[in-house]
Amino acid sequence: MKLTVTIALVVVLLVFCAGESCAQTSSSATQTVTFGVRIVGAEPLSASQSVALSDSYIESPFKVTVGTDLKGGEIVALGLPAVRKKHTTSRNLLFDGRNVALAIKTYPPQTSARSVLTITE
Amino acid sequence: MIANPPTRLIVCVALFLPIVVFAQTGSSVVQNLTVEVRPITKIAVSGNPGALFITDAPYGADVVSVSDNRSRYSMVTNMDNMKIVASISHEMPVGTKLMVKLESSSGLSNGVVDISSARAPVEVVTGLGRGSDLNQAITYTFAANTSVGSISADSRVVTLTLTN
Repeated sequence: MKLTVTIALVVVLLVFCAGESCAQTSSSATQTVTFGVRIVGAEPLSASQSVALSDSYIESPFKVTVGTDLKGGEIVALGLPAVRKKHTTSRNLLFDGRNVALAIKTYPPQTSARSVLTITE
Repeated sequence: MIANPPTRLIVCVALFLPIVVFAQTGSSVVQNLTVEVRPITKIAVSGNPGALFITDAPYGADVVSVSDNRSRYSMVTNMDNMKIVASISHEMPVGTKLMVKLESSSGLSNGVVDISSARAPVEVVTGLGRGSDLNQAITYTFAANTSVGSISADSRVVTLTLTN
């Protein structure tokens, strides 16, 4: 008799616990977020990279626009005796010359900086 | 012709038995019906957001970001003072951020919430009461400093929990 009563109590307890577990007080859903950084477009500017202009005849003066994401450094435009001077980034540089080779150097050297040269006559 | 007494008795019983049987005009049974409404909270999402790849950076920008708002969530509850919290499986890489914004028509959205290091849940929607909020937009924003180099495709699991 005692065994029967005990089994009955256990069954009642299990049913009660099962009911309680169905009482949802919180619910979750998950999402997977995929990310990355892969800059495409202009080639990374190496520590010293030349942009050859000698293939085309450019009337002087011509303008070189340098845009860069270089941080904490500066771009030095070399190639013409008359303009051997430093220029800050993101400025329009005015060059007077033709059939020249323009060297762009970054100081300090950075390989991850991205720069774009736009040359207009 | 008058039948003998036994025959008359049988005839009488045969005639009145149907009347006695169909004279039962009522019958009842009793059932005890137990009803209960338990606390219900459910939240579901429509799927994963699109990949957040930074592929371009404007000149002079210190931070670049991309966003995706194509995924949706729906929730239902019969409880008051509920909220939605968000957590991330593991922290974002240095120099990057992952932010999330959940729209809500029945609660109060906390706007753009940075969950880059939210190993512990942070609130994104509060003040949700009884009812449902269906097909609400989830906007993820991935931001990276321009000083950060390339980062290969990686992923994080974001858990949205409707709780009290």
